[in-house]
Amino acid sequence: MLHIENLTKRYGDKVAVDDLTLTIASGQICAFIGHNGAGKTTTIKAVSGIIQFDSGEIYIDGISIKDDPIKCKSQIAYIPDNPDLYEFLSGIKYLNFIADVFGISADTRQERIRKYAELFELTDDLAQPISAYSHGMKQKLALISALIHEPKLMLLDEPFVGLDPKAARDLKLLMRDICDAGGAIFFSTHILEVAEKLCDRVAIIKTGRLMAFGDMDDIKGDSSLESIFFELEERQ
Amino acid sequence: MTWKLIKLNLAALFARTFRGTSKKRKKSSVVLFVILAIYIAVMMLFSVGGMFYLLCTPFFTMGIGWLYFALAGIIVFVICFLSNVFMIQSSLFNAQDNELLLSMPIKPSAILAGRLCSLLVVDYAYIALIIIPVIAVLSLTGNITAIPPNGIVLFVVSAILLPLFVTSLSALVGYVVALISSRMRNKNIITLILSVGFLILYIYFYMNMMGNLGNLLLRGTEIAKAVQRAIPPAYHFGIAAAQGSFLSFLIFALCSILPFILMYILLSISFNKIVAGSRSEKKRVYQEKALKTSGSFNALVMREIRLFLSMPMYILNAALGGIACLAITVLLLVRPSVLTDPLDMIKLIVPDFNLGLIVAATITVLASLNFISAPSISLEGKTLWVVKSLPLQPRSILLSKVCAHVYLSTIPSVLAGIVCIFVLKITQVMGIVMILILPMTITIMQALIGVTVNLAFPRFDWINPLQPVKQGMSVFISLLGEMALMLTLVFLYAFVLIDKIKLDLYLYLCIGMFLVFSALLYLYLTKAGSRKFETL
Repeated sequence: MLHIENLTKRYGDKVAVDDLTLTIASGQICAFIGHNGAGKTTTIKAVSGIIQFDSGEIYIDGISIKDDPIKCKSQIAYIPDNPDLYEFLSGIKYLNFIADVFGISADTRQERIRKYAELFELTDDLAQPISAYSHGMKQKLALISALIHEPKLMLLDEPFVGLDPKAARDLKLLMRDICDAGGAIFFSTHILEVAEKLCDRVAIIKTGRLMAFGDMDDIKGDSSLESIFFELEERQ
Repeated sequence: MTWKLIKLNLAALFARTFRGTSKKRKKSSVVLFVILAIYIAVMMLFSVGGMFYLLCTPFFTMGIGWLYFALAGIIVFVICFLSNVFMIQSSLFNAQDNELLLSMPIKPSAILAGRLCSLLVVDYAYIALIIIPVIAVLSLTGNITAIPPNGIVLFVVSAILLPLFVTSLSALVGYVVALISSRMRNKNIITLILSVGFLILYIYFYMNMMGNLGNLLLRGTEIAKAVQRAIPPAYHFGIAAAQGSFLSFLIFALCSILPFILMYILLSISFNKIVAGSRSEKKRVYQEKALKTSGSFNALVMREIRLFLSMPMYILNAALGGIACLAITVLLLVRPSVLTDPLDMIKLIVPDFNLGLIVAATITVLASLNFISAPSISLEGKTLWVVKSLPLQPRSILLSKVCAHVYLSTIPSVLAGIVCIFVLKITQVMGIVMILILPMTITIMQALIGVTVNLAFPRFDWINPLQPVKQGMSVFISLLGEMALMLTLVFLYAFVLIDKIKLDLYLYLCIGMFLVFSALLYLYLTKAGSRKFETL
């Protein structure tokens, strides 16, 4: 579903992502972990087509994001680490805008909004302006908007930040459901326990370079993901 | 702590004026500000100086020299009051860091002092623009000799104290507005209504200032008596300066300082309550309704229009021409004689006066005051990721901004044009065509220029969304560019081509030129401009 090949992104002289290669197949959840400033957000933004990269290739379901960004973007959903949404719109107007962009029919969008808003307990607040939302509510709204077109690949940057315990649990279950239905999820997190329990694969990045990538069980072996992470961090 | 907060607010005021991430940008914004400041200062020097030059000698001859100073005080009062009313909401009650500061061990009175200081600094800038020409005229006409030596000193000190009174009054108005809007669901409406109201008041004051000059000269003594009776602080302000009266100065000083102290104490007590708000408004519970669907481009256009309508200050700043067109429409429908009478008189003096073309030119100039699209890319701010992550062609995003500008600017100008055609009974076909087409072509060109320039000078690091609207480089360049273009076209015809080609042919040529330039800009935005947007 997602294939990143020798991705390199520089900001001036600083190499943010350095020759990164990884692949995620349909049905897999891959955690992307690393310290602050390691290059996680840059990688996710490059995959979602928000920023351009210097070299390498990114394929979404076999299509290069450089060659056909629109087709790639129609198959993915991206949620940033900080859900800055259109505060001048109400929740429902924002969702309707996203549905318009993806060309979702009236009945389908209504049904999906109902389903996911109920799941995240946001139904009553949909008429409120987004400016009145808390961080967690914005995060939930961003999640609903990401699910409205049933994407094949979800790119989530710190998706659990700001969510209440129930919403976090529901999101974990939903992530598993999406992957069981043939989708794929690539998400960054600092919560190693979540990554360990939820993910099939893990990628560890340090100063732009991929330190480890593979099946979760192979990477952590008999120890915990936390100890492997710190072991890799201390290396070099 | 109070002093630290004052310094912080002044630093923020300075940073807002000279924004820039790099030294080079900061330097260029300082240069830009200096040019703008010189331009405003020269304009004020001539307009204020000119007005006071006409009044100075007659007033001193009539023995009502104090009215000269009182008038300066009244003008300062009105200008500072209208400026403060516009600023007080955002800088005092709705400042973004209010909650952060309240969470710290800082007294509300200290926060308030910091905020009030930045308001006073802006007021002093306005005062300088009035006081300097007033003193210059006094010295130029030789009337300065009629004033005792301490008169000028008391005049300057009184002028320094005057903003205290103005700030007290505008803070009171702001306090009432904040109280009302904290209980209202749609705060934007009250802000918009009040802002438009004050704007109309400002324009009315400015337009009548010159018109009432004759009145002041003819009925100076009568007016002086009326001012003495009705506005005692203004009288004492004038007497302190004209006669060097310390008693009058003391009375005026008390009139300025006491309300300020009272306001400061009152607001310090209730600051917490205003900022935190009673939040008594009812929550709007979502009721499921059938959702309207539209294509992605229309959705983008609607998004732009909703953003525009959600920001009263964006409307007031970027659609001034549209507001003026709507005002003309209402005026013509309610009191057509205001315009028809002077126009009939002009027709008598100049029989071949082409009303259609004059109306077309007026609406075109008004339409050219709109710059809705110029800050539209910058206004994406931190939400830029939304459109960039969606399956949208960059050119659709850019053209949606152009379209929104065209819709929002064309509706008022077409409305004003149609009402003008019917009320002013314009029958010439050419005039009617021009009224409808000329403003539209300039609007399209202006919308394209705005997006193109903003693409070259985008700013996404703003804190307050008004920053790209009021201080954006793209706004400045597109407005200045269009003003220069309009003036060039007017002067080119008036001084060079008037005897060589007919006005209608010249206007057709202008339309042709606008359309060709628009086509070039459209090509740029859909090709190289779109590629540039991808790199943002």
